[in-house]
Order: sequence, then C-alpha cells, then structure tokens
Amino acid sequence: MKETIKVNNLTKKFNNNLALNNLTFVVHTGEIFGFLGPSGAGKTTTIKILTGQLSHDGGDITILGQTPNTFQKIANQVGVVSDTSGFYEKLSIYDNLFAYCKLFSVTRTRLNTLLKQVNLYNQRKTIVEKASTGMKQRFLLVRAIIHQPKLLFLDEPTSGLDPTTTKKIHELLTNLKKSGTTIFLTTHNMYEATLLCDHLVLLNNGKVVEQGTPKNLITKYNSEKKVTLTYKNGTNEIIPFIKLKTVDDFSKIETIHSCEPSLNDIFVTLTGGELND
Amino acid sequence: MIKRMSALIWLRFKLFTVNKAILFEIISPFIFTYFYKYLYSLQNISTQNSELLGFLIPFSLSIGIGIPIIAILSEEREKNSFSALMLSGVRYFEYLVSLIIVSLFFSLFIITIIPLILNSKVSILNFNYFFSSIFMAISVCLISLIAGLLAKTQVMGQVISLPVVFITSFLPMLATINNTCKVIVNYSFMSLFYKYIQSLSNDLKSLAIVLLWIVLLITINYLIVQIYRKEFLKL
Repeated sequence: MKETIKVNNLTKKFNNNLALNNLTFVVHTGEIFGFLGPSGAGKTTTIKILTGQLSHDGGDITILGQTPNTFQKIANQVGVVSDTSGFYEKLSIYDNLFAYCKLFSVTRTRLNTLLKQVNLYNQRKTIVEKASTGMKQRFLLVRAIIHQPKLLFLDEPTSGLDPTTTKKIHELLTNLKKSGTTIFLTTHNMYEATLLCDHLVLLNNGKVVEQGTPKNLITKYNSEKKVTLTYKNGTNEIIPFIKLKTVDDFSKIETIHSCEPSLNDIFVTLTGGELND
Repeated sequence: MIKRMSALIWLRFKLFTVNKAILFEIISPFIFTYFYKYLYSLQNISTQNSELLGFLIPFSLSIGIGIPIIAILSEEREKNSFSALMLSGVRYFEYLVSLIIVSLFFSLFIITIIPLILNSKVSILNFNYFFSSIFMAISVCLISLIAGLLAKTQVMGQVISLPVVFITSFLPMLATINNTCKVIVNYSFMSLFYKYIQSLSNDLKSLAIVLLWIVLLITINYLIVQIYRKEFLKL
C-alpha cells in the first residue's frame, strides 16, 4: 500500500517541554487515519509540523514525497481545516470561497455543487462573521476540499457541532475517502473515530500509546470477554461471557449483547485518563 | 503564479471595498480635501497653488492607503487568514505584491482627484507630478508593509500606523516652518515630491534619494519575510 505520510521518530520541544516524543506512524493512501488523544496531547502540533507551520526538533517526515520544509510544492494537493484556518469575516461565505476558486482555478459549478452538498448554498451570501459555528465549519471544509486535494488534514472537524451537521460532515468525509482522498483526522470523539477511521493512533502526552485498526484494537483489548444482559424488568447486568452458561432462567432476559471495550475504555486502560478530557 | 496573483488582487479589491472601515479610510482624504478647500475659501485663500497639495497628498496617501495596508496585514495575521493563504500555496512575494498593486491603484485616484478638487495648477497629466507622487506612493506602501508585517494583532497595527501617518502627513507641513524638518524631508522618501511642490520640477539628487529609500524599504521587507520564514512559517 502506498504511503502518503511517513513519520519517523518525530520530536518537538517547546522550551524544555517535550511536546512530541519520538512519534512514528504511517498514513497510507486512500485511508482515513485517526489521530486520537486528549486536549494537549500533541495532535494540532503534529498537524502544524506536517504542514510546515512549525519546525520540528528531530525525526524524519515525508508527506506526498516532500518534507514539511518544501510543503509549498505540494500545497495545491493538500487541504487543511485547523485552528489556523482563518477566513475573511467581512466577506460573504461565497466570496471567501470564490477567492480560493480563483487561487486553484476551480469552476463556480464545483463550488456550487459543494455548497449544496453541505447545505450551505442557500446561505452562501451570509457574511462570515454572522455565520454560526456549524456554518463556519462546513464552509472551512468546503474550502479545504475545493481543489480536490490528495490529502486532507482535519483538526477536530466536528467539534462543537450539532448531530445533524456532524452526520453531514461524516457523509462528506466518507465520500471523499471513496474518491481516493487520504484523510488525516484528529479527534477526541471516539464514536467518530470508530465510525470513520481505517487506522488509528492513540496519542497521550506527546507519545504514541497504541496504534492499529479500530477492530484490531478492540479485539486486542477485549481479553476479558463480557456480555450485557438486559432483563425484562429493565435492569442490566454485565457478566463474563464464560458465566453465561450459569444463568438459571433465560426467560427473564430481554436481550444479550456482547460487551466490547470502546476506544475510550482502551485509552483509559492505557493511560488512566479519559480521551475527551 | 499569475492565477494566484489575480486571485489575490481580486481578494484585495474585495477587502478594500467591502470592509466599511477601510472604505472610509480610502474616501476620507477626499472629504478632508473638501474640508480644507472650504476652510481656505472662508479666508479667501486660493487652493490653486501647490503648497496645500504638498501637504494633502502625503497625508492622503498615508490615510488612504497606508492605514488600510497595515489594517489588512495585521487582521490577516491575527485572524489566521494569512496562514490559510500560505497553506494554499501563496508565496510571500505574491502576498505582498498583490497588496501593493491594489494600493497603487487607489493611490492613482488620490493623486488624480485631489488636484482636481483643489482646482490646482498641477494635474496627473503633468509627468513630473505623476512621477514624484507615484514614487512617494510606492514608498508609503513599502513602509506600511513593514509596519503591517510587524503588527501581530489589529491593536498593534493601529498603534504602529500612528507614527507612519504622523510622519508622512505632518513632516512636509512642518518643513515649511522649520529648517531641521526641511532637511529631514529633503533626505526622506518624500524628497522628490517635496522638491517638485517647491519648484514644480524634479531633480536628480532627489530622485536618487527616493530610489535609495525604495531599495532600503524593499530590503527591510525582504529581511522581515526571511525572519518569518525561519521563525513563524516555514514556507
């Protein structure tokens, strides 16, 4: 499988604080790569280093065949939505995006299609400073994908959004993946990561604590297999799978569900802290 | 590069015209000119002579293009639209030159319309006037770019723009009453324009001084960009 990003022993210090400690991971072409960790784990710092906005103190990085120092050469193949994704507040959503259409020689037709896809077409004349958080997030996403990038960096793209908007963004990301775009997604939303990501890296205090596919990680940490019994009287009980055969009266049981650990459970097991801290 | 430049120029025009505060700054020199014309008329003083023009053109350029440049650059830094442009492959050179091009376009309005409002003997059709004022406009743009690049926030931009406006606006006025100021103006980026206003002709010495200033200002801009390349954004 082709590698879009290759990071080897990446280290970054802020003064004497080690923000990133020997990060090593590979992002394969066409996958949604989840970069999970609590706030302050180093997710945004990693994106900034990968996109050439911050220098790093050690390690090797290859991104679409370039180093972050030569990011400019691949800028037209990369889209970024992060906290540094600024916009012109006094301009309308459409004018903001049209400037980028001109920058990348993209047609108005594509812009209109994307605006319709994220339900922003009817609000395209809204001045950005008057737009809601959800509108701004969708607008930034459109701007990042307007030129059909090969690689898309998304830093907490659904943070603070309502479930309907979140769902729309998830659909859009799934479609982008189908069209061959590699997506580097940072999030502390475990549900989102499980739903979308092909490969995950769990980050804590600047260190990779675990990585793999969501399925493999869950299987790996599902050593003590358990099931949830829901009784007809509405109560629940979690018991080891092996004790299922000791249940006396199955007629009292409404449902039996396997009880795999969530990514958050895995993260707690590994670090002792919550992902969404 | 051409498509990026045209996109940036389009964006700059939008920013200059959509933002009401910036639009007011561009229009305000014409309002001030009418105001001065009115004040002069109250005292039955003619506005046809070039002295008033010698004060109003530098003042108008600093208000009409200097402040907007600083405001736009500082806002783009503070609101991260600068980073967004850089991440889209825009180069520093294109970023700054596009702003100069649009500012010079508005400068042309200033140096054309203000003499007309004053019924001045001088007009844009006079080559020496056009030449000296456009060189001054370029210098004001370059000074404002330096100030704008140094301002990390809009508040800082406003603070930095004050001395730029004061020096450009009032030095030519003070030069008429103070010899030290006159010497300073003679060796400043306004030298060529000031000489023109005094004698209605250009001289080589002043031209050389202005060209040196432009080279110096371009060098300072270049050095600031190099520092940012190393410390702020490795692009």
